[in-house]
Amino acid sequence: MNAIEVRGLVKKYSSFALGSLDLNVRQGYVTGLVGPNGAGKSTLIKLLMGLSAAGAGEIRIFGEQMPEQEAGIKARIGFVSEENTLYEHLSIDAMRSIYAPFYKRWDAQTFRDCLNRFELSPRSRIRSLSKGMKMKLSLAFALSGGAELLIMDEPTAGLDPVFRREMLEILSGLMLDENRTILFSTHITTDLDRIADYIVFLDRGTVVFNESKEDLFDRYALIKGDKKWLDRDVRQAFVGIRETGTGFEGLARDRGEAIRMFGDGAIIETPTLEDIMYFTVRGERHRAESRA
Amino acid sequence: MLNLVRKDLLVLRWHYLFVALYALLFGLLITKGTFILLGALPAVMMLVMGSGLELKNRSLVFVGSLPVTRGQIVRARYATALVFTAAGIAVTVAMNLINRYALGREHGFSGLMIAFIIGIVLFFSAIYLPAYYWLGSKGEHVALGAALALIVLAGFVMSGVLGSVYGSGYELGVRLRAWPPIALGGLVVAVSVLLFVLSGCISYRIVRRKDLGT
Repeated sequence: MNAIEVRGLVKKYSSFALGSLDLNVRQGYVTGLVGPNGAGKSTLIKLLMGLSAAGAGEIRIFGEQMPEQEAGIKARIGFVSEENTLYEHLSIDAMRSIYAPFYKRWDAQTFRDCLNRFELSPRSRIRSLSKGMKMKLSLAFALSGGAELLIMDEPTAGLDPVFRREMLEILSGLMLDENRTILFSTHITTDLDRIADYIVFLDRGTVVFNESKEDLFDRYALIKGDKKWLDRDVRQAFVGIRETGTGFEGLARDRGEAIRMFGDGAIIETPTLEDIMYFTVRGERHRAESRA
Repeated sequence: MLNLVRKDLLVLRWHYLFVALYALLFGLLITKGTFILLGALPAVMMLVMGSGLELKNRSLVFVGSLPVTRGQIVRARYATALVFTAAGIAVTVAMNLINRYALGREHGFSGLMIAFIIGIVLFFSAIYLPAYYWLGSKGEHVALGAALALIVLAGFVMSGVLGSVYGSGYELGVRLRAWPPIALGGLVVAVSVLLFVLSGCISYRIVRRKDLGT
């Protein structure tokens, strides 16, 4: 079952266009939205949250259509923005008194527990908090509203490694509730290595792939070998190649085919998400340049 | 929608102190001028300060992520403007009562003043809010400047029109005074309410297609 279904979604700006985009986000899993800067991750999230108006296409969340039923849908979503959008001059408690009445399922105990866990005092002014603490506060608000779907735009951007790990642990803990779905964007692929079940890779406003992490790692292979292997047919088996003075490193789109092709003649490794992202973008750019 | 209005009122917090100080200063200490501005300016100030806080904190993104529709966001902001108008009237009435009964000073307070306070605040809101939604964070000051400039311009145009109909200067004042206050007040309120409603429709059309927080 899908928590989010997107069909033919288009959003155009003067210098950037997203889509036409089709996408499913499975309910009960963590889906990571990854891509280089400017790939359209934040634009997609804003469209899903109804913060941006789509040029065309359809968005369904929990089977209901956005923006026609947006109030009901958003009551079931917790949103964490990359930038702090809470009123900085207010205390945490004053912000809570504004935020809580919007959510029928607001759980005061969950909010108190979150504040304790994140070591946040209700009397602290929001402007006095560090970026990491503000992110945790946003998460506390998102969780206390009884969200079934968490949508987070770059929640770990700008956080130090300790905070980032902590944030990822919190998100992992949330997934003990099997009905909860998390969609979060990042360009830090190691975050996804740790907690994501599915990966949506976005580049230049289009979905390059949307697959389970296991399938990705099974399918792709990172090949390192001598340049003498690189004839025209072999090159076509790669998503992207980086050549050095002595050899090459490339991402093969079919692990089985790569093993048959190179045998023991090359080093065949399981790629990281960063490898997949890097070579995919590199390959796409190279092919675009060749066509031009 | 009520929660959005409540949010607009709660967000101002300490800013109400400025309004209270203003009311005390110009309502009790310096009482030479008219009581119309005593009621209209706090309302306008609160509206502008609330919008400014929203832009400063990029809080339209926060508001847009809440379980509300864009229509509710716009309606709530206009409803808040009405609440501020009522607060402005309350300030004027309170200051007038204090002056009259506690300090023994007479200021010629009338229902027409209330009509003018309503007229000024609603007219300002009718111009400021669509400009605010249209220009967003990049042009809040432009929106404010445009609203104030248009009010002044409208004032000149109105006096020009009235002057051409009734004559000008002292004669115009006499003619206006000849109107029954209830008719003049009713006209001011009716026109401003009409503009206010029209402005709400325009704001909704702007917000419906706009990316929030830009």
